[in-house]
Amino acid sequence: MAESGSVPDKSVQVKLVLLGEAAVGKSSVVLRFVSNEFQANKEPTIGAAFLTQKCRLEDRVLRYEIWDTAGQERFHSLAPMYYRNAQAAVVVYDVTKATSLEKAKSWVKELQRQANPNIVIALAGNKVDLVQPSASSSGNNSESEDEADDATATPGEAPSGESESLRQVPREEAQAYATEAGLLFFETSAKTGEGIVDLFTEIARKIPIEHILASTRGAGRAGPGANRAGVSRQEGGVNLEQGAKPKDACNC
Amino acid sequence: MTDEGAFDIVILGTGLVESITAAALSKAGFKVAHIDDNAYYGADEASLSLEEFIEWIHEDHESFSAFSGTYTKLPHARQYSISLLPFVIPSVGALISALIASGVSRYGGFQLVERVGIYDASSGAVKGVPGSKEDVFKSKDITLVDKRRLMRFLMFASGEFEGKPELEGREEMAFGEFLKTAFMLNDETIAAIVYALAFCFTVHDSTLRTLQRLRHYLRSTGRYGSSPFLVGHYGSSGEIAQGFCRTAAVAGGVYILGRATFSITHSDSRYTITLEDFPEPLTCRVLISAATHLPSNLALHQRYVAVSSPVPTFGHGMARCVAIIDQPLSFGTKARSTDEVTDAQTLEPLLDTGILVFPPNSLTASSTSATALVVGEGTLSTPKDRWILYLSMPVLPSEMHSSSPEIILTPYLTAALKTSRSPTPPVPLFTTFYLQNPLSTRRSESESDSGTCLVSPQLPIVPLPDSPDLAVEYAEAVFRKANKALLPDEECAQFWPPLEEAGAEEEFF
Repeated sequence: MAESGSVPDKSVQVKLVLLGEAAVGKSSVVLRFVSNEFQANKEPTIGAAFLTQKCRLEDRVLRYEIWDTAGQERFHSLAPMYYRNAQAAVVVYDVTKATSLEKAKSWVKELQRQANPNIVIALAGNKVDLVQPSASSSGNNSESEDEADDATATPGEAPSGESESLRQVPREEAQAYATEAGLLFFETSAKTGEGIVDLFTEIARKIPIEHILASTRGAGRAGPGANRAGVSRQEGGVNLEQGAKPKDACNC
Repeated sequence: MTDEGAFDIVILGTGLVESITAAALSKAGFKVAHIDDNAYYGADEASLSLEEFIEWIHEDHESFSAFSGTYTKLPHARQYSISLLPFVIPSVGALISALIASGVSRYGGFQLVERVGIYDASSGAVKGVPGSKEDVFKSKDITLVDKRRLMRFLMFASGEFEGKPELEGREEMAFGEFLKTAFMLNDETIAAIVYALAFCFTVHDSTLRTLQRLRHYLRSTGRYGSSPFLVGHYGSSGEIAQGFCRTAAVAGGVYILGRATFSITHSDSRYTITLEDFPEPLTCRVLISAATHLPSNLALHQRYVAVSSPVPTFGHGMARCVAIIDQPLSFGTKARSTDEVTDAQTLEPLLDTGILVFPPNSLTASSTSATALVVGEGTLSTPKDRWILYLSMPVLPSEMHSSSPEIILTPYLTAALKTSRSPTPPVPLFTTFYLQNPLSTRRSESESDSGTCLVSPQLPIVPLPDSPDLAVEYAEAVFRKANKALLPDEECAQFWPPLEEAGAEEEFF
């Protein structure tokens, strides 16, 4: 908005939604990004409303607000609320499971139908550690992120030279699809961290921040009382928690 | 648990009451499945895109009938969020507390209602209603004597009036009569208080209960701004229901939408629910159903969760209108001090959210008041330069007999459109009229503790600010009954356990 074109020091909030078949490692990708952790045999879906993580990029700071599906995608019952205002989406599939790419494609279609037209979509082929001969050969591959897809991931039994054979989605195929559909594309491993930071940094680069700033309503639209405590960080609306009286806000 | 389809509780219907119930039960640690045969969340309180709304108009509904109007699809149809239950939310109350305590407030955005106006039948003009003591003080429309009387009344109404001499013996008096005898207010001020501050439907509403509602609104003033009321983003009611459902899901609740219920059977103290197009049946110990989703074969198990409403409810139908317009309305100017007045016309920003109240007999011979709520782009419920106008008016059976929602509401729609500042009032791009049916009479409202099919109370027809808090009170009643049915020997869990802060979040807030 400013004529200089420079973005002020303040961070820009970006809502990012995760999509993908069950057990492809959606939550693990986020966990790796947010706290640089990996949990083997993670229970399906984390119990947090959403996670936040800052991402610094040259002169701008983005604050990702990352929404997990909370399992609502399982029976196609994701609420429109989930897609609303999302500026970015990461659609995850599992490189060792061909059907998960098909599922990813249908999520991309759903996003193009439901989400805001300027949304930045990244396709992430996760669990790439399982198909890399060197890095994981000394141990076993048992830390496949979920038990549900064990059938494809025969842990520990694959000799290192053959681990490439676990791969069911060739990199070239996914890349070709991503290019055609206009998506960013990365192969990632939540387990080793490979590709994770690149994924979120590249999304940050692609987000039209100036557009977000311009479309974010200034306090002027908030009506009477806009300058008082309780006006939210976003959209000039009311932040219920900020305006709460002390007796309600105290957690002790 | 090995059996994936086994739940403690299955809830049928994703209306506001059921969604809040689902969130509370999931957070309390119960295993919950939440089902709706609609493909959308919110049931009779959904927020729909224009496309969905048009589809909805053409479907059959237990709670709505007598549809008419011109409903053609408009450009950017998906950017509209049309609420099936338009309401405003008092800034202090059960819903706001529940939104904060459950963490749902993080998902949704809210906007202050900018303006409340009242239609003056004698002049045909709209006057801004002072919403607070400051407004009264600043107002140029009120004489000094009336100002003093009004201030005295507002002090009384926002305080502990129970047992005060002004009220003694007048608790059941019609509220307007009370204002006249106890505070000697003039008729115009009385109309503003009865209909535009207390949102009474009729002149007969009793004094004590109206005063209690009014106190609730007056105490909501100033919490988030000068207006006591908020409107939720994206169609409010349905978005709030979605927020509670997401919270339920985050706590482990399972969501299945858009599947018809094929059958529900009961044996060995478990219910088995078979859904169409769904691989495995679900089983549960306690079934909770919205009255409109009630399976007919379980009459013996049904237990209607009884609630005592603190709010006067209207026992008949409500005529409703949804219109989409492309010019802002004004609903009167805000009360200002004299030196500000000169700038009022030029500086007043376009009205984004506002309420216009028509006292009874304003335009037609009617015993009830009509209310218009307008919401614009600021509530993220419309595309740019479009506004949704919701009109509602309670109707008596005799009026419905000889008339239709369209005939009843058209004069009010016309008057609301005339508040536009442009020389020619806007012509709605889309209009629909319909009737919200009165609640079905409740069968077997038993208070026995034996039944395990709980029927959640249906939201009655109440004034514009009252359904949100009522929904939470109803949900809490169902929550307690379900707790008791599942854990009869234990103390009931807290309605909202303290929020656990996610570690990753703390750093940045």
